[in-house]
Amino acid sequence: MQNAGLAAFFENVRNLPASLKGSFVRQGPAVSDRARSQTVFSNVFLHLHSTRVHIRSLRFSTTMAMGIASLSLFIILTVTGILLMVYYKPSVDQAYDSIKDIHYVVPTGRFIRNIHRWAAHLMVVTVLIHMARVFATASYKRPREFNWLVGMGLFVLTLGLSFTGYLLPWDQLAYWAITIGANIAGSPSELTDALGITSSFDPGGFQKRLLLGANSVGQEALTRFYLLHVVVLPLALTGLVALHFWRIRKDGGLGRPEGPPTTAGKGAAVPGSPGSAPSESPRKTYGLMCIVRDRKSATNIDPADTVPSWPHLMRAELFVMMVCAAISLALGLVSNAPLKELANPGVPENPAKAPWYFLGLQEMVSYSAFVGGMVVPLIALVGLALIPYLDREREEAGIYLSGGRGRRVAWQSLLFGAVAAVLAVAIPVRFGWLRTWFPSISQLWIIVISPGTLLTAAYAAWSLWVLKRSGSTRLSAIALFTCFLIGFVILTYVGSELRGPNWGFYWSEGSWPVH
Amino acid sequence: MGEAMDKSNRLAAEIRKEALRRDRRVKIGLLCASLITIALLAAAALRENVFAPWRLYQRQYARILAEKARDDRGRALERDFRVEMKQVVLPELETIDRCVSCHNGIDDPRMTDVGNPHAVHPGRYLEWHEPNRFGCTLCHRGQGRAMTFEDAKAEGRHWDYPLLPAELSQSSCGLCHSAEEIADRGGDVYAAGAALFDAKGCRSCHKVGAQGGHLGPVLDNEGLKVPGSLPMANVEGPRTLPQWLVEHFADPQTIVTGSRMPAPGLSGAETTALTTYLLSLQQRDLPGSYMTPERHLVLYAQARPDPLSGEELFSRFCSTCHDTGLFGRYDRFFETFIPAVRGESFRASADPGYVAANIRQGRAGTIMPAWGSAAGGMTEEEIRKLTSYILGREVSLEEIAANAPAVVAGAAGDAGRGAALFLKNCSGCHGADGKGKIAPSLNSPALRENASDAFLRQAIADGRRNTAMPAWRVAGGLTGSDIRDLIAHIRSLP
Repeated sequence: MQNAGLAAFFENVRNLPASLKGSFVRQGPAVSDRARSQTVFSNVFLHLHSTRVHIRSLRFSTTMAMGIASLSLFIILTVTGILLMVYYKPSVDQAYDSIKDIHYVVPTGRFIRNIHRWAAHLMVVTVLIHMARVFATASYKRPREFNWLVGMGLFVLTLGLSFTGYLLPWDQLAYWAITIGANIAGSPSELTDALGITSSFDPGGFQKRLLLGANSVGQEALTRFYLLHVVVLPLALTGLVALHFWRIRKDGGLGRPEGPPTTAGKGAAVPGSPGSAPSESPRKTYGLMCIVRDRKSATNIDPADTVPSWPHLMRAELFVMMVCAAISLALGLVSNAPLKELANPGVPENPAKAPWYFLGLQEMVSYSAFVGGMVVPLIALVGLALIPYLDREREEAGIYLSGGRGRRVAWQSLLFGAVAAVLAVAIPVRFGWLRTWFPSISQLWIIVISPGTLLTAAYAAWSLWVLKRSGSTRLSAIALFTCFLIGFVILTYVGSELRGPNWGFYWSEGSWPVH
Repeated sequence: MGEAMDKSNRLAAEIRKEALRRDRRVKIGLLCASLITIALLAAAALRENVFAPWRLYQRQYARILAEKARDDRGRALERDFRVEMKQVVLPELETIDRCVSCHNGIDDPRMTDVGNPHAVHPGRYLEWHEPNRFGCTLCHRGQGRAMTFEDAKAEGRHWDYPLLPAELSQSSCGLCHSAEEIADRGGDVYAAGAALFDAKGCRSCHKVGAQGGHLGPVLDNEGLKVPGSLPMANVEGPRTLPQWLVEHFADPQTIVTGSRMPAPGLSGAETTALTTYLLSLQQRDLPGSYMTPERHLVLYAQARPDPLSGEELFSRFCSTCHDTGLFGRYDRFFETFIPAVRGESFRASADPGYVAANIRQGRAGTIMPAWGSAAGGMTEEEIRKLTSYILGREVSLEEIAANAPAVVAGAAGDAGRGAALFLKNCSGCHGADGKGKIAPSLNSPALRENASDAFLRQAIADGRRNTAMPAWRVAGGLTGSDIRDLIAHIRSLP
């Protein structure tokens, strides 16, 4: 006769698989909508999502998946970054050699480093496309203005992460690119020098020393850039990403075109569109109470237009993540991350170029550091940040460029912006600029009348003209944004492909003079 | 109410169908992306763990070892051989050399009939320099940390010290050895280069160690110059330091615009030897234990040169321009006459103090360098010996110090008249401002403060035998007062 305790023990051992599984997966298989909802909101990682998602949000064309792509690339960067941290040493004597050893000796080191580099470039690209998409679909309008600002913060953090990471290999490329960046941070001294007040008021020097921790790029800069790159900025980015997603939920989900769902009957008032009262649905088995302001909130969505996040949204997100992984891996497999000679303060790179996303600015910096490095970026960032507050026209989010008129304005602005940018490059290249004709002119004139300021002024004038002609702030915003986008693309291309030693203009690298 | 419910239900069903359709596409896409990702991971794994070039070479070598395992030692080597990354780590030399990952047979004397990278190292060098103590890049340069041949050779790969061409391999011998001790023991090219450096009188213009002229750059670290710091615009071959040195020897003016270096006129073998020697000039922290006792003596001698005789000093530092010093020499490259400092006219009139001052201070603005301890590195004793040799008699330090030239400017001589005479007679060779054209300069402090009137008078009146300086009293018809005026003018030259 078996002991009752012993029997219970063996029974428990026999039930181990089932009881283990049951303690991990509490709600059972996701076969009902309720179970699917539970899968999402009872999971600490997934419950940032809503349990149901609007069908149109799942469409590729609504978002082009750029937000998820940016997040996926950030995850890839974090994982590969942590792996690199195992072997990288942030000391000026050891950094370069540790990168060489990662490349040649560490198992998968070369692969991981290449992935990290490519994912970083791709993330800057996806973030830019994401910003353009959000703008184009007017997804910044009320109530999403705050999230637009959060997105701007994420954009700046992304660029900051890329820039701080650029220094870490401590090779010629890194050292001189960051020297340029630091001198751009010090560029207010161009203005204070021209005014003769630098000895008493030197914000440029202060900014530069704050960035570098010294008067030139050295161990101090490497330490603080490393700290920023692996701790401070990733934490800030994660926090803002969480806020970003939270706001998406609170603002009524992703910006998407309203109107009838694709297969519904046309014409009839459709539940879920603005203005219609929420319909009652016997399928709702749960209720939440919340007192909200404003019309556009998550409570005004008919469950009929929605599908469970698990599995539809999760699958779509996983798909995007896997595609990003595949692309990063493919690029990492075929193309090596660059590494030049050990950083040598005595041998400047010529031309010394900033990372590619700053090359457009460097184009303008070549005429005036203050304008290209401080003024234009500040105007651009402030302008972008203010878009939702200056364009308050009520509009449905989700239609690209707000329809036909907007598309027309966009094409015209593309043309105008492209021509203006090309002229801003071509005229100084061909004819010289102020200092060619007036060698001893005060730098103040060059700051005020530099190609960068004139280009910005031209874009602003065009946007105001569109505003006057069309009477719509949205259309003028489209005009300005499109101008800046094409200007950024063209200036980046010029700075990257058409500039050689001493920042001279050369049609190809083959015609660069050799030192 | 029921109607609205029906409609809502129907709508929901349609939306569900669309979601499922979309889902199917997503699932297929996810499958494809996942398969591609797995394939890429597999490709990366294979590339690193199966197809890495060094692994292929090591597997080949394992087969070679098996073939050659004839005795106990051979069998032991075959048994112990593992396919893994191999490296030589030498913290005191700051090197990590992974060449042995592919060059497995580098120190196995049996590997004479196999091709590279398995072949044994030529010569007896590895007998004398065990790889585990010296590594490979110390002599051959290249990127030791690399794991592929192309990266190790590092030509055009953003590496400052690519693999040396084979004929220059002896360049590092000079880091640890003196030229004499290895001249017939594997260091013949290096020794030839060191000898050539002396024979060609390079120290007349280039400082190495403590002594040398200053017309050309200091060469103490010539072997470690990075290509980025050299003018490469006119280099025709690969843009590396050795190639720069070779082409610079062939034609200094083309490689360095405005160079004052005459082409040394070297043959191919001489170029190789001298380039080898220059590449050995490296300022690096080599541990003393690596250097032979003879090398320590060489370094000591460089810092505290052996006492050379006056004649040896003259030959090493002066004869490149002055030749024997017995006659005035026209240098076609510098387009100037070089004084006959050991000629009879000079010896008869020059004071020891004057000669010593010229050696010590040189003549700024001309090709005569300053050789004093602050500049060229000669001690006062050496200058004394040189002065003795030049004047052909022993002079003492006191004699040199006691030189007080009778400066009688103003006592006689009208500088204004002297200026006109100078312009008419002297400026053609000595330059209108006296700073020297094809004849030596007259406005240097060394001359102004140390030349006695008698010296100047003799030079002008009687000229200098075996040089281009005429005797103006005879040939030029200058009177004694003319000469006094000239001297006054010369002393007043700025």
